[in-house]
Amino acid sequence: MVRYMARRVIVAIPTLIAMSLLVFAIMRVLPGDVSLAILADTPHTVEMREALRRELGLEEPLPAQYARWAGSMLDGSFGGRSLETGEPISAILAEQLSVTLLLAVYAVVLSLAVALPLGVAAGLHRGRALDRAIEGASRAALSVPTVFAALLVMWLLLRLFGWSPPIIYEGPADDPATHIQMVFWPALLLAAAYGPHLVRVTRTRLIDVLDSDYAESARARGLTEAHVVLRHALPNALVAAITVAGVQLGALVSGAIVVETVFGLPGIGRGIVHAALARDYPVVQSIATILVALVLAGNLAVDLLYSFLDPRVRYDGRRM
Amino acid sequence: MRGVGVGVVLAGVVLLVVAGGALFADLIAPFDPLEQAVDRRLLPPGRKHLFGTDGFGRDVLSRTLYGARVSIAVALASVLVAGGAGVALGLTSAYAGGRYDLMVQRGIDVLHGFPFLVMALIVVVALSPSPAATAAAIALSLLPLVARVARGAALSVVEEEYLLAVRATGAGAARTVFRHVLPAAGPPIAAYLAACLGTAVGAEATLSYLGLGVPPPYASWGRMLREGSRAYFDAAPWVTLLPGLVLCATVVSLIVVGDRLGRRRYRACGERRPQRVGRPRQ
Amino acid sequence: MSAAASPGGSAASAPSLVEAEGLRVHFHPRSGLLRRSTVRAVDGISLVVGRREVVAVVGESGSGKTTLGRALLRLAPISGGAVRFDGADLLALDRPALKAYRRRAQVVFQDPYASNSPFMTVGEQLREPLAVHGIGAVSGREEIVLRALEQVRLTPAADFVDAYPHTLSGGQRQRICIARALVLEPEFIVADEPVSMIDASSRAEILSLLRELQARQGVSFLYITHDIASARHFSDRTTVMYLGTAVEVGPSAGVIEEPLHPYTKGLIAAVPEPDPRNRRRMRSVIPGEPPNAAAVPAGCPFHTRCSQVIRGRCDRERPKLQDVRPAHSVACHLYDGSV
Repeated sequence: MVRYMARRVIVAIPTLIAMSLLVFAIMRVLPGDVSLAILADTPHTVEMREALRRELGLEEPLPAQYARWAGSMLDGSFGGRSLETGEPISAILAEQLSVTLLLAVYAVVLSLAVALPLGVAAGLHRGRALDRAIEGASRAALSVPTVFAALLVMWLLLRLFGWSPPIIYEGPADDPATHIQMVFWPALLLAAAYGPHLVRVTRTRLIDVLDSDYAESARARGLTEAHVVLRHALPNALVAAITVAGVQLGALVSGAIVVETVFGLPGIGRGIVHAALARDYPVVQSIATILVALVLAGNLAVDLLYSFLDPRVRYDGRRM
Repeated sequence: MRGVGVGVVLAGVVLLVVAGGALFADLIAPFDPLEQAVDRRLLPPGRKHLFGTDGFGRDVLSRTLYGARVSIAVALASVLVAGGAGVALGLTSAYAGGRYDLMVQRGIDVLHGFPFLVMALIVVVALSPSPAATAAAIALSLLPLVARVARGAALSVVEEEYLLAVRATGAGAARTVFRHVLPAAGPPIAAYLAACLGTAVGAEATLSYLGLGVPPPYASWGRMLREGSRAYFDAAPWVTLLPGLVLCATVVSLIVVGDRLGRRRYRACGERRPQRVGRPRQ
Repeated sequence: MSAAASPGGSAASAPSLVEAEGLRVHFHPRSGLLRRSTVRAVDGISLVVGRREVVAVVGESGSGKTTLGRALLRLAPISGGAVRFDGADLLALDRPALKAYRRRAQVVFQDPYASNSPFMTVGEQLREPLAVHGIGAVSGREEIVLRALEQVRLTPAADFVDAYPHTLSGGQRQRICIARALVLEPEFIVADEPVSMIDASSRAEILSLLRELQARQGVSFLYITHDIASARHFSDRTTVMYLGTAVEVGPSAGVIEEPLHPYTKGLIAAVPEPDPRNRRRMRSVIPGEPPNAAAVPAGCPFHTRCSQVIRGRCDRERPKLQDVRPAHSVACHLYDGSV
């Protein structure tokens, strides 16, 4: 078990390095001259460009630039300072990351709380009206673009209740009422984009188990249907849902970028959009890498949890 | 063959209307999408302006029709690029197998690890906002998805015995892949690409809404969402919500059609197994 | 036996078309991140197919006979040993030479349902090999295709050209596969259980069709089958395979009427009826299943199922092929003293 976990972690490292190389290549190599890309919209002199190039270390060869940046990602300075405000990127992260992480946790908890019962209900009522209604609803939630859904919700709240979200964000400890008001709708929208996958996999897995030979033999041994569902089908469906929850973490990040921007939540999603609009290269590059690393870490965590729950993976690392 | 559902018919109609509107925007649009007029600012939807007017007095319906061109063109371009590259990668790696397949898969895994918007965002920043940059950004995010689906579809064909028979005739790799693997793997891939088109339209709108998609003066749907929701969402919601509805209907329709195509694929592949052998011709 | 057969006894001295020596095909399926197992599908087999000769390879499923056929066509990766075709080393062929070889050596697979492309008409499938090898003008290919269809007795040929495989019966599809092999006018055809998945009623027809083609055009055949009685009917010489090795080799008449190896005897005892028209699937009278090719037993690979096993010898030492009668050899310790 420990060996299996260690191996999964070690295998993730080259992936992370490849991902950071890709971010670096896109941000630093693709534009040609980064200083020109940054100053494209602003009138500037040759001296300003030279200064910028020096500040970003663009005179160095690319491998050295990458090494310096990668080093700074590891030592906690995360690529230096914002070009726009001069703030250290580590400070920006400290401020914004907690907002997004909280939002993500709310969304995941909310979707699990709603999606699992719905998936189980659909699976038990397979083919009947309830199943079709749940399938229709999750399909709709899955295909409506989050931007539009978020704008629509904003407008409806405004129209029906004359309510709009508070302007100033408060942490859950400082002012719980404001905090909840501010994060409730974004979390709900995120959950709507994230949950349908869980509903589907829960339903499918549940049906698979209920149709399986071992469920049949359990029934033949005289065990009640409730026993079959609770002891066999549910645990299986849960494990499957957790796996999908891990696979879909990336979608959660994309959704967070949208809802944070629409609802003015000062999280890292809105932060990276803001930095992108300001052409704040160092900030975009570092936040993008951190988001990718977080998703990778999340996937890994779910993988390990999965190996913990599914005895087949535990002993020798083989799935089947 | 089973009857086609109401939803699929409806989706088809929506797509026809939207495509027609985009194609013939200059014939249908009642107003010049860029023409400003101070005396008719923020008019609510009415007989003269079906979708109302925006803060510059521009006709929202005309802007939506012209916006469709930009949105659809960007989405189509990105799906074409991602589709071409993704199918090529997926098919070749499924066919070749071995070390090449392993390398391609690792590369796809790396790309796939990026959240959709994060990838799109850094590409747009690196290339500076333009329709082409938006299309490239979306294409790069779609690429790993398409490649995986194409590889999966091709793998099921590669294991068929008739490919061995083709190899035995001396046919080269290119001929085998294009003449034999592609026709069999094509239908599921095409269905997936239709759904990808929906994703791409949504992604364009999202990027443009964030201010990172197509820059002005292009009036894409996402651009309209951005302008409408920032300046006068409260006073004139139609400027945002009506184009938003059209966007939403288009995305949902594309996904519905893609789903439907996907479910048809087994029929589209023709019959292969003895139980379905029809009447002999003699 | 076929009209063009060379007498079994002189086959070895006749100029041979295909010669395999110690041929090995090992697969290494991954069974863990680093661990790999070895499946010895073909494990050191030597085989000669003379010109205009039909050689049968007989064995149960899993004996490696299909892999052997594919390896001779370089459709399976060869791990060791040597194969020569018309004197040329098959392993040394570069891409153009391999393509030229594919024109001279063709294949008919077991499953006619799986070996036709469902997306191409019969005409398209038969024209494809011609296009690949640039044979004939585009307009002239139609005629070659029609002639091939007539050769396999799909008449009127013009009716079949535009048909899709799924509209045809299994027997008709197999004829298409044979026609596809014939359009290239090969010298050597590997027929891998060509009738095992076809309705019993068309089996005899297809086999006699193959025999007729062999006699008329002088094609050499490697006939792979699990049906030892059909080997007697169709082939000049027979090789009996067990777990990737040859256990008995000899003239078909001799091997089948006077089998030497206990395994061959078992196979023949399992045949219910000598008349090919009433022949059914082989019943197993050999106890147990063949062991996995990933775990070949030490010593004689057959000793785990052999009723005449010599303890202390058969499970230790692998028997070598030895001539017991003229041109008839067997790999079995029972015959150790009789040479």
